[in-house]
Amino acid sequence: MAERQIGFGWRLIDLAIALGARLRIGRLAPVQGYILIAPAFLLVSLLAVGIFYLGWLSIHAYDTFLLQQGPLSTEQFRRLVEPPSGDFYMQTLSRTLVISGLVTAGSLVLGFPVAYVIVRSRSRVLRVAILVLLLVPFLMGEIVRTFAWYMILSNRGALGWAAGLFGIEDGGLLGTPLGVFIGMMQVSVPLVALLVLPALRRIDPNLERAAATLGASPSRVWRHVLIPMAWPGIAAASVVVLLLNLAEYDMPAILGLGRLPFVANVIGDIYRLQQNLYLGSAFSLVLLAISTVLIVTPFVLIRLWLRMLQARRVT
Amino acid sequence: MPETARATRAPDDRPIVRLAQATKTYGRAHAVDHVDLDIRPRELFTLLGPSGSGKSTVLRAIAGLIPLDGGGIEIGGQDMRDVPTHRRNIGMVFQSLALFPHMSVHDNIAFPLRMRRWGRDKIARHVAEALDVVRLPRIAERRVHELSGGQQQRVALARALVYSPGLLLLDEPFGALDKRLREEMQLEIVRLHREIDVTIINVTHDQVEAMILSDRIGVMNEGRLMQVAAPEELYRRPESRFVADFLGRSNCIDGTMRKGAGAAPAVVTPGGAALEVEPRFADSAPGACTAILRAEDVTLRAAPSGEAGMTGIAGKVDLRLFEGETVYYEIAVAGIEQNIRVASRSGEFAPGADIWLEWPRDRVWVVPERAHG
Repeated sequence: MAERQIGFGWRLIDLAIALGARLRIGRLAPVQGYILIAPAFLLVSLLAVGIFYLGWLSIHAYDTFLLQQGPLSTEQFRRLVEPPSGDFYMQTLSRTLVISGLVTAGSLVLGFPVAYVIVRSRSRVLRVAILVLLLVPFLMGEIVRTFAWYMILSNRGALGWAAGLFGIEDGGLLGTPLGVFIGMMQVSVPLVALLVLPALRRIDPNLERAAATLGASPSRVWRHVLIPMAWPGIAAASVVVLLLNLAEYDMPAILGLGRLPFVANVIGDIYRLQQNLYLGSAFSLVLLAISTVLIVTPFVLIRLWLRMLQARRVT
Repeated sequence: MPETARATRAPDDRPIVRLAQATKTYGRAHAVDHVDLDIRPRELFTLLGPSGSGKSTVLRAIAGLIPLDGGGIEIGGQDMRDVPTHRRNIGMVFQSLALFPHMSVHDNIAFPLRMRRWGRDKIARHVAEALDVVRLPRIAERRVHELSGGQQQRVALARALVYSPGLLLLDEPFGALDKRLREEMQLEIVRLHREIDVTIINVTHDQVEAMILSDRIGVMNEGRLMQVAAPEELYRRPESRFVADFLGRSNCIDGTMRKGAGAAPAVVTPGGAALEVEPRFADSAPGACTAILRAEDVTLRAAPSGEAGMTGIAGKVDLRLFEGETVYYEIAVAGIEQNIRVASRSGEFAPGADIWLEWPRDRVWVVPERAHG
């Protein structure tokens, strides 16, 4: 039985080879690279199609009562910006931007030294221990992680209990910006550390020693040697972390108790509760546009700055 | 400039660097084992030793990059225990050079001056001067990776000297260079040392470099400082078998001292071969000892010459290697375990020939057993 199956399998392969010879697949060798990236390319282009569709929806009016698409219009965007509904959406947007920005900055400040310790530590045990601690939150799953924080931050959780020892009632942080901030930091700090790690690893430790012999205090070694040299890693880390934070959903939904929705939460509500694809699409595109601008501007600025430096050097 | 600088210095010869019982352990191993060392002002001192001998550790401890486990370091008479590296005002050149790749040559050399918060004009002037000193004008705006290996060496030197530190530490900076460039940089160091008022501590495993450069050499082995002396002294009068073996090509022949009644004293090997030595060694190295005979002090002859002051032993040529300036021989001698190594200028004998090895008796040096490294 098994033998017959193997025989059948081989015959299939023979058939495939014969077919290949008949079709003269060898001719495709020059474009092999393109064939190999085609699946990934298709996947990404499908997403592009979706985004175009979002764009198409966002520039149409929509009758929420009759559930009918209207003519071309800027209605959706006006509803996002103009009062009375605009207040809520713009407040959500600014909350998203401010908290994401703070989390990105905070996680850079905390994550960079962690990466440094991993790279420079002589102790293998310490290095591995930190790496495991960094990776575990990623492998744990978002919902589990978020609810673990829920337990800690709630009024009757660990934090509320600890605050109670000092006579503070309802000391939990659920539903406060700080609570959301802490929850998001917990994911962002390890991410920054892992992203900065390769850039730091490339720095010769003798550069730090040399800087010290040349009169640089530890803080100035950081300022003049480590940070400038790890710059590419820092830029990459801040872009990735900022993007993930701008699109954050679970932390504001669960730790914010729904009181502090982010753009993603509001979009979800518009789609699911209002069932208004048109307004939701418009808000999605606004977030997409802002994200794109936030990523592209730093690079453009650095480019311009470098060009300015070169120009000054020439003169 | 060096004259005025020296005139302002205190006239006494107090050491600029003093190590007292300096000790560093890694686990159970002593990387640096109770080292006492005084470095004199304006001296070019070399720490010489095989890799892992602790010489680099000593240098890094002086720089404050490695904390000691015991003993102390003084620089300029001041205890360095609580002085961090960046306040020690020393210059250091690393083997990897450690130039900052994200900065131009100018910014690299300006770095120590910026750390000292000097003014912009003063910095520009001193950087230009430093580049002149290492004979590299007109490359200030280049990036470090655009320079050749030799230029990078000079930039590293300029950076370590631009703020006129009293002490310059060299951590095998020439180790990775090819021979020609290495010799060029060694001459550069000698020139700089003559022109600038600076004390230099150099670390190397290259005995030739140590001999060429140094006013004094400290030989290290397994964390211990074996001997500190001027190069010639070290070469002619090693205090231990290790030092003799490490410097130049020597024959170290173990044996016991025989005090002859009437005859000259000799070192006798377990195999029964006897090497005559100067009478003074009979007292300085009684009992078990090692006779040291430099390869270049031995002459090969067909028969004893009978000249006064010469001594020798019979042997058989085992190996002959033509090296250009000299011919290297290994000679088997009855009663001596290892072959005797000879650097001969003539080289007329072929392998298998029976010959007579001859050398001036006063060129045989003897160290007692207890001094064996």
